Amino acid sequence: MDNNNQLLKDAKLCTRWAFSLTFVFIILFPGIMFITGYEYSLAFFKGWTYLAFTWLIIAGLYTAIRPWVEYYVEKKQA
Amino acid sequence: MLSSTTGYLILLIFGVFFTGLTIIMQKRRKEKMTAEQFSTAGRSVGIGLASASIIAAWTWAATLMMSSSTGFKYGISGPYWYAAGACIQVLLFAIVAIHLKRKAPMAHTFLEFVGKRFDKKNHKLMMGFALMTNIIVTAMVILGGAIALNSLTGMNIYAAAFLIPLTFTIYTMIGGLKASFIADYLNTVMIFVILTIFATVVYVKFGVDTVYEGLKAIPEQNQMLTMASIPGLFFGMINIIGNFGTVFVDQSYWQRAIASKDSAASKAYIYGGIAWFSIPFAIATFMGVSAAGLGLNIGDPDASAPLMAQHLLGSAGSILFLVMLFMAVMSTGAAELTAITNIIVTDIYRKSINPKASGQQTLKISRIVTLSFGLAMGLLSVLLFKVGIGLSFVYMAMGIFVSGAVIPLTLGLMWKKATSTGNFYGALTGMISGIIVWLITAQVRYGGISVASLGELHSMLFGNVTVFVVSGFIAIGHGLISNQEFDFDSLKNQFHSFDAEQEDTEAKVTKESESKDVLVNG
Repeated sequence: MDNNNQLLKDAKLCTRWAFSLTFVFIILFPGIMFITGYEYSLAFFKGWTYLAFTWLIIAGLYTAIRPWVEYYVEKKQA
Repeated sequence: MLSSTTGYLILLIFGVFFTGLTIIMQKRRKEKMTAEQFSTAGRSVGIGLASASIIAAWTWAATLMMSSSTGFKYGISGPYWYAAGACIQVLLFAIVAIHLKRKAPMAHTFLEFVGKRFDKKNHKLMMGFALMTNIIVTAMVILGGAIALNSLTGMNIYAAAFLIPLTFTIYTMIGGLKASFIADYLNTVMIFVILTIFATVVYVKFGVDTVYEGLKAIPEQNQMLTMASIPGLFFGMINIIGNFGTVFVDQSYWQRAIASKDSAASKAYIYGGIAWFSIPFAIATFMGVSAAGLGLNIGDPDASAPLMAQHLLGSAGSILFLVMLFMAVMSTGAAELTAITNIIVTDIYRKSINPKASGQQTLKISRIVTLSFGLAMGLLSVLLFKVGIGLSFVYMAMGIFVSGAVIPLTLGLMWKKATSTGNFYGALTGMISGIIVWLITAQVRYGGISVASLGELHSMLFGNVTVFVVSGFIAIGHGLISNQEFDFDSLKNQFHSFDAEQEDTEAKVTKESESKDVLVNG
């Protein structure tokens, strides 16, 4: 597959992801929470903080490790 | 409170560390630094490093301070709206980034693309928007850093505002974009580590139950435990609209796409955006919302995060917070500085002043511009303090000034029917009408135009929305009426590497001298 076709394929994929995540983040989830006017229970609040914490850990690990993996793979290929 | 010496020491240690690291890396490089390398990092950056750099560039001092402030003021809706409202721009930017890669693979700035796609008028206007964005963002980053240094160490706020840019200017001047990538990686990892420490301490020391009970005890009208908070929603809308401008019109994000490998450009923004979400979401939940729940006596909500850090770990907490904040300031500052340098060198110097500049000349000018702008930004930040304009105000108002360019710019890249006239008047009228509506709302709703009335949620929201509606309406409307079609394929061979241009010139000179020799000898 030539470079342009690959870029076209990537463009389609990332467009889908970008729009879907945007819809979930700013329409679907806050929309439901706003319309229902739900007030957080203790259990829900706990879940909310666990989500924030877990997300932070996974994102941190991804950010820290991925560049080293790529560096190692590139070095191996070279 | 820490001593002011601690503040000066932090500035010195980080400045020296990153400058030293850049010098060592430069010495270890086998090839010589060229103008192309300086501004594009060789277009070879992978997904991991590019996403770390995107996270770093988007983690401003405001991300740490303002997000916590929204958590403290609006409860749990604040962190969510801050994170979601500022994350989607990075996700959506992935789409335009990959279009730039396809349509102008060798471009150095997005303005270079605008210059070829539209007319000179558009190029100049967009350059105005781009420089304004870079200047506002850099000033805001420095303001945030200086406020934190001043409130935690008592360091002179003007000295802090002048010294902060100096720390990132020197290593950026030496290493260019690549140095900025490496510093971004180190800074981002450190921010994640420190944030994890704070979050863990909140769990261990106080527990979620205590925070929840505290929030429950706050009067119901404050809506601390629901997403159905009207002020939270208003802030969310301002955040969404305002931040489109600071991503789409900021060369530093285009630069990361340009520096990435073709296969990495779009993915880096998606992964980077999702990972970035966790930073404001976590810090605002664990520092801002928790500070409100624990009933901390905080006068200025903007200072909730540093004060909570101090409450959690004493002096160690303050130092950790300062280090985290300073890392955010350094990486965003360096990203903005390289962006400004690229614009001035590519779109002013090489376009209008010296189009035949050699690679070495371009590199020299790049370094001079980096140094001059770094120092100028320090002076501007001091001036902003003198005028009395603070972090929250600049953060919420910036969309009105820069978002007018977002829709025209995106259309120019993705829609063949976009026209020069529609884009120019769309962007310009959008900004002007946004400012007018902002001023009118402040006058009518709050009885006068002042920094306070202009900073109110309604004035900011109406101004921000107007910019988008007007610019989009004019740019799309004119495109549809004109019904012209632009051939994007015609742009592909119009962008060249700075080094290739230099090699071409050198080859030409050699060829000419050879032919002269032949004539003389023959």
